Amino acid sequence: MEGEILKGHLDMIVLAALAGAPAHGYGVIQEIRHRSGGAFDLPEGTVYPALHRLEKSGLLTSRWAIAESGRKRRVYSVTRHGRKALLNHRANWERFAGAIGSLFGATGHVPA
Amino acid sequence: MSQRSPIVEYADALTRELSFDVALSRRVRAEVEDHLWEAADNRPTGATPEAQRLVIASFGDPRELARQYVAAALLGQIRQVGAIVIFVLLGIFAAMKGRVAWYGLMQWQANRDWSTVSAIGLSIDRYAFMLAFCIALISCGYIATRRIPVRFDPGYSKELNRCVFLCAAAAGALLLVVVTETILTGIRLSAVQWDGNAAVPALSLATEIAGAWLLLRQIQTAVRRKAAAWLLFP
Repeated sequence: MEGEILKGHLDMIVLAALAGAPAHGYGVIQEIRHRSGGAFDLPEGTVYPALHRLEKSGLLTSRWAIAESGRKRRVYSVTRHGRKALLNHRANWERFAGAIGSLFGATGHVPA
Repeated sequence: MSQRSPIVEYADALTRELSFDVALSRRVRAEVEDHLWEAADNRPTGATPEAQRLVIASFGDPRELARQYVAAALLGQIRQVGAIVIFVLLGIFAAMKGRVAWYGLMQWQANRDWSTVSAIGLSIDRYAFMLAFCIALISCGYIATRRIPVRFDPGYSKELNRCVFLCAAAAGALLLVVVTETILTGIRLSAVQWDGNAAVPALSLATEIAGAWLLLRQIQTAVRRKAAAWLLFP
């Protein structure tokens, strides 16, 4: 999928990936890749500024943990405010997808 | 001589790019290094130098990555300045009220030789504090309504400049309050005997001066960080 389209929805994608369980950045990327069936193959670095931005906005919270490897890692989880934001994103997305679907359905074909 | 691994070199480069915010650069470095080592370890060959280079290639350019942190980092700093403006404002108010109560308790009279200066000083003090209070409220309202954009752009830069300007204006008015308070307290203490009781207003004044200094330092840090971050966008 086009990178620019993905970036426009990055916050929603990251929140959705974290909605199930807390995870570290690498885990979030793996979750996105796995749940999208490989369609969302983001430049991996872009996820970290998004996590930081969402945390600063109060949608995520984070804490340091020690991995099995002994390295320090930051584990993120969705806040209550974040869950509300995700529901709003989802409702907006469904409206948008529904409208686009109706548009394609009405024309019956995609112009060349 | 031991050769540094590509991941460490990449982390060094990222730390340099994020040098506008040292705490952020440390945090991001730890996070990114953990990511890159895990990704390299998970490759079939293990974390060989070649595997590390491949992992780094899919991670992205360190400068581009650093740019994506700028908007949130600078707004975080500005929010901190806004909170300190309110904290210092409340601290100065408490110190002022505390000193007046102490003068009453000690039954210290105003120095009559300086009555005109004291009257003018009190007016300046009162209006400067009211001005600082109003500007601080506007600053906090403005800062609280800013949202972190995905990209740092000139429009957002202007918004941050407005935040800094408002905080600096509030700090300027508070500085005038502190200077006036210093003069008024000096006049008041010149008429009393210097003993332990005089240390109470002197200490409360020192607290005000420390608060004003802290605020000015925070504004200076915010301006420096913004200037340093701006260098990432040639």
